[in-house]
Amino acid sequence: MKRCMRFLLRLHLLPAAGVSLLFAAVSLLLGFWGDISFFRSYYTALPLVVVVLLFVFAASFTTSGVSLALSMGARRHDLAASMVGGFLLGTIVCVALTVLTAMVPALAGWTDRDTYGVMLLLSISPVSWPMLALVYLLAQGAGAFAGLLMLGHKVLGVILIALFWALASGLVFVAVMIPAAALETPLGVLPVALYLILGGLSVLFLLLTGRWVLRAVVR
Amino acid sequence: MMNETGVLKAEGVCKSYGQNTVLSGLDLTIQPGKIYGLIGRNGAGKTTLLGILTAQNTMDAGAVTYDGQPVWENQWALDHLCFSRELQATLVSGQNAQRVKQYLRAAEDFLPHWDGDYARRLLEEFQLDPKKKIFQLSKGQMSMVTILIALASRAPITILDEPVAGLDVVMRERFYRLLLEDYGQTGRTFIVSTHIIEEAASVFEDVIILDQGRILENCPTEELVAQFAYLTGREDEVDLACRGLQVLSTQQMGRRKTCAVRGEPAALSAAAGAGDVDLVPMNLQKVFVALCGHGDEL
Repeated sequence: MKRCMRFLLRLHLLPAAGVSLLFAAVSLLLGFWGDISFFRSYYTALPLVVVVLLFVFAASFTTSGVSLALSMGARRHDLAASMVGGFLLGTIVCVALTVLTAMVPALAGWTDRDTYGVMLLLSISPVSWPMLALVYLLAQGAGAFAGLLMLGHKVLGVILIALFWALASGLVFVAVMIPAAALETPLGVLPVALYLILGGLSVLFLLLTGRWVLRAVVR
Repeated sequence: MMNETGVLKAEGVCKSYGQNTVLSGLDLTIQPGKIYGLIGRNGAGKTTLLGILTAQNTMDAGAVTYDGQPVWENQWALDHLCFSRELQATLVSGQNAQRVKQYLRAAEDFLPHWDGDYARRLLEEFQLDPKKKIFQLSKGQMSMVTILIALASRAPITILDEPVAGLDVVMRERFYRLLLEDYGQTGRTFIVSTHIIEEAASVFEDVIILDQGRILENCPTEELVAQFAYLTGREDEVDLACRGLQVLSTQQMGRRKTCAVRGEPAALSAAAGAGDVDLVPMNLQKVFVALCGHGDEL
């Protein structure tokens, strides 16, 4: 189990979190410290970039990482379990990274700069964090499942990727706008059903991927 | 009851891909401390069999055990096996952009007997750049990575699938030397699947011949080769000499006839001495063709 977890962290979490951190640092430094508005636009897109990276690295893990691990003698149950654990850890790390990045302009006294309102909302109100976490988890679950679909049915995989992107863009927008809406309607801005649907979809994708890992054939 | 220490065993293994039956009721025993050669025609099921032996592939029926314990989902058993597969330049997601060092790190993560120092020495000996991506490697270099992982794994049972594919003759000789050196030092079991039969024949202590999903032979190479020969001479003399022997194929040129035959070595010698016929021994490659040629013999 420990070997699988280490392998997953190396192949999925470290690259996804590392590139996200690099993106956050560059957009922060150039957008605020360097005062280039162009990079401030990038900065506000950070949650979507994190979603892209988590999705892509999860897909790459199922298309090549699983085979590599199994070919080196990994136990299938350990690999499936570490995927769930690794994706949850990835979610926590990336939510923390996004929120901390959102707090930097205020901490650094760059509040005179414009166009970072969306990220500011994320930093001041924790109500959007669970939604953000669910979107990040869903990105990894859907990414892993899309990778799996690509192995057997490339077209289906591409369709899932396209559908997910349309959904993810909307969900990230909803997540970061929750605090703004909540200021006007303090009583829950989003129906619980939405959280349940997103959580349910994440679990479904993870279950399907885990089931596949248990029967996967290394080629 | 047979001592099963270090024995890898497959019993009644069946595997189909859709309507295509690849292995049917296959039984195989791999004894510890030997170098096995696994030979078979394209599509005979070699890679499928090796995948099933190491739990990298599923099976429809049967059982695979190591040391008497099931291999499937058994980390202890899996830790004793290493199946170093042929690397692929392209994956379903596109080019195989993983770097050599990522493969080596994965091997380090998962293979408990991994010898990092030996891996580095082999990396230098093969002049492989660990930063290179797999799709940037030549076919021969990919084979070198496969060999490196297999040898440095130090696994008690190490399996190589087509390790010399794409290697030039100098590298192939170097591989056989490394294999024998390792075997001399560790005495571990190797299973090497190959199509370059004659070159590797002297390395194989035992040979396994797989044909149409079943094991035709699993015995010491010299013992097997000694049972096969060509008998050549006048037709009536050859026919006479062939009595009591298994005739695998015949070829007639005018009044001269050549038969590929199988029998006990003593029976072969006796057949040759009985009349005016020539006895020409076969090499392993000829034996393989005689057994699996299905009409393409001689």
